[in-house]
Amino acid sequence: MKAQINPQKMINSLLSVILGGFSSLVLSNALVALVTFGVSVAFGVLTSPAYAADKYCQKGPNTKTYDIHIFGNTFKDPNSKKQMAQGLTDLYRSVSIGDRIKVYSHNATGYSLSMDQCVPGCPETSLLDNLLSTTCSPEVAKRDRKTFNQRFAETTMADINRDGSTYDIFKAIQDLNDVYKGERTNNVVAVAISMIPDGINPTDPNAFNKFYALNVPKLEISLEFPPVCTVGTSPNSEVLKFWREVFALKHAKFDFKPCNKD
Amino acid sequence: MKKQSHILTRLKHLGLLASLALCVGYAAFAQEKPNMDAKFRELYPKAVAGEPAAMFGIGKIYVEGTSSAGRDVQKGSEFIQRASSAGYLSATKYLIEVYERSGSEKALELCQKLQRAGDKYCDKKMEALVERSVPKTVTPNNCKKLTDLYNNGNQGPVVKSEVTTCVLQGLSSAFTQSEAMSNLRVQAADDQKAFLRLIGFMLKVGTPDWDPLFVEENLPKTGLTFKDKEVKDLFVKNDITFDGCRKMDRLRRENLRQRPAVCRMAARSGDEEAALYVGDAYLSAKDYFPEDPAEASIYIKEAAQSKNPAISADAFVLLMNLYQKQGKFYEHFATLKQEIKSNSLNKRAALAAFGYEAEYLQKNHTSMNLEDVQEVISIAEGNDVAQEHKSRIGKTIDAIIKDRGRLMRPIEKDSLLMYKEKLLTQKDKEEIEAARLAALNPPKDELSGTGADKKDALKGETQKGERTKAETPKVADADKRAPKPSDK
Repeated sequence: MKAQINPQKMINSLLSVILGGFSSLVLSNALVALVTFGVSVAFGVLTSPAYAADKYCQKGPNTKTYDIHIFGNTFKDPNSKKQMAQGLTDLYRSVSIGDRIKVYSHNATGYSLSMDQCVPGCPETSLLDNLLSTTCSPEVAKRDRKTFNQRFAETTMADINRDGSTYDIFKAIQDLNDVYKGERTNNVVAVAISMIPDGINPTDPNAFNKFYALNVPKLEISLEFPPVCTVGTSPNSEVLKFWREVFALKHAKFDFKPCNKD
Repeated sequence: MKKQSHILTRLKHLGLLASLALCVGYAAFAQEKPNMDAKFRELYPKAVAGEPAAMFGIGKIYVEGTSSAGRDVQKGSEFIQRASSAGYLSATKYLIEVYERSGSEKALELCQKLQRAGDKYCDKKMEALVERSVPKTVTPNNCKKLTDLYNNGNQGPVVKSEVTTCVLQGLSSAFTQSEAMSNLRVQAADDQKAFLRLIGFMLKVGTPDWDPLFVEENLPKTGLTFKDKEVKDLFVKNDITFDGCRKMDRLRRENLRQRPAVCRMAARSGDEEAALYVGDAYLSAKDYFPEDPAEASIYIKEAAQSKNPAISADAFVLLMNLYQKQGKFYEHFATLKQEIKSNSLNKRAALAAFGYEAEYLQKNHTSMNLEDVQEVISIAEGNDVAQEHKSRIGKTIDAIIKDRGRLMRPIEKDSLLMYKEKLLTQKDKEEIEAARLAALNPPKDELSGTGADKKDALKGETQKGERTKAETPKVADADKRAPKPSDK
């Protein structure tokens, strides 16, 4: 009997992974946070407008904006779901305080921006800076970070395929393309998508041959992506081979570079 | 680009699609389809990129329906066409096979392309393809195509024949007009189609080739008949009708032999008026027709079959004349008898022609069968027969009885004598009596020498006459018992 994946467990698992990562981050930055707090008290409150609505957003050469596209319904089998959770965890590890996270949830009918928030946390600054310009409270940031983590986990796992419903992998790709419509972006574009065509065993080359013959000739797809990295994509060689062929045929660039690897 | 759109336009022809479908369909269904999905996946990107071998491969997979992409003859043929256009010989050969099986002319086009490229694939099938692709209609474009074929060395009989037609119609200059005419005459000797084409030229009035007599003499030799539809159509088109015959100047020197040929051909193609005219002309040797009752008979009999009562009546009269002229008493009598007994529209004409029977009976009764004699006499009794003929026959009866003598049974003799009574008028009887008396009292010089013999003869005649008178009532009785000759 196959092990059933409990979505709630999956979320908890993801959360635990994410929260675990955050704890170590907090510990390592505890002193810095303390210093930051002290500086902010000493220099009085100079509230930055950026901290109002999303007070943790930072502008600088090292901060990033992440566009995370979640194609939850393409993760159908337990393995792929695990890969997705692992991929998101890995991605989360790479984000830094102040980075902006935009989560796009895609489903069969389209997509929506489900989350747009900056990663909570007090920036690592010099004592003097803290005293002069910030009112960032590590305690508040810690609490906010916890809430942020919770929301991130819920948002990303919300549309995961729980009922075995069908999906069109080509439509998913096209939807991703349609978000940008050929526009350039400097954001980090991360795509959580299994890349496995619906109903195909990713280890069966004949299944891919059949799927190719059936679908590719009539595929009308126009792709012009910004550079993207992938999350939770099946590492199977047949899957990669298939998509390389399809993207080559359609003259589209798609690297399949996992987001957690440079 | 232009070439590609040209190919696509061609592909829209359902013919190719249908033929591809038909040709490949059987093979595809006859055996289990091999799964070509992997091959498809391998070839498709290359085919899309324009690689000829891949285009051909994918085209075949589509046409044969051997992959999960299914059978798509149109898409498949597009790929194969593109491969062929890109110079991929296998694709071209594949298309040749398909076109050849479907009877499309494109097989020839592709074969010519291969030949120009030095490929010998089509060498054996070229002649058959050329013959099959010869256009069926003579148009400037078709003639240009044929001339090109001819000039490219395809000089087989079929192409030569068609180019000849083009030359004669001024649509090709592959050879001269006179060479073309000469070619056509040679071909026409054993080729009906060529002969039909030849007719088109030889019946055109006012051209140097005009020669209806040639057509008339040679048409049957090719196995054609004057009543074949193609022949009749050509005749109508070229005025080979009674109207055409009538319009021709009878006395013009060039027409002396040609005009009868035109009239005869019109008649033989079924023009009844022409048949009547020709029959009459042969019968009476007019309008430069020789007197020839046998020939006349053919045409008159044809006209006599007409459903037009005017024509058939005229033909009947001619037929009666013809038999009389030929001395065919029995044909004359049989035809006449049939018309009278059936009370047909020709009865009047038949009765008018009865004089021949009366005359024949008078002159030839000795050689006639008694039954025929009796039948002629019984018809003479009819009300519609002219008295002139009745009298002539009535006056012959005595001679008949005398000639047959005791070979004739009394009942037969009585029957004839009864008819005699009915046929002769009082005046006739008086004339006979006068003649008899004149014979009894001949001038004296006539009695000298043989007087005794003649007296005996006269005595015998008198006795016979007395006996006849005495037996007359018996004849009446016997007539009631015996069947009438006409009843036979």
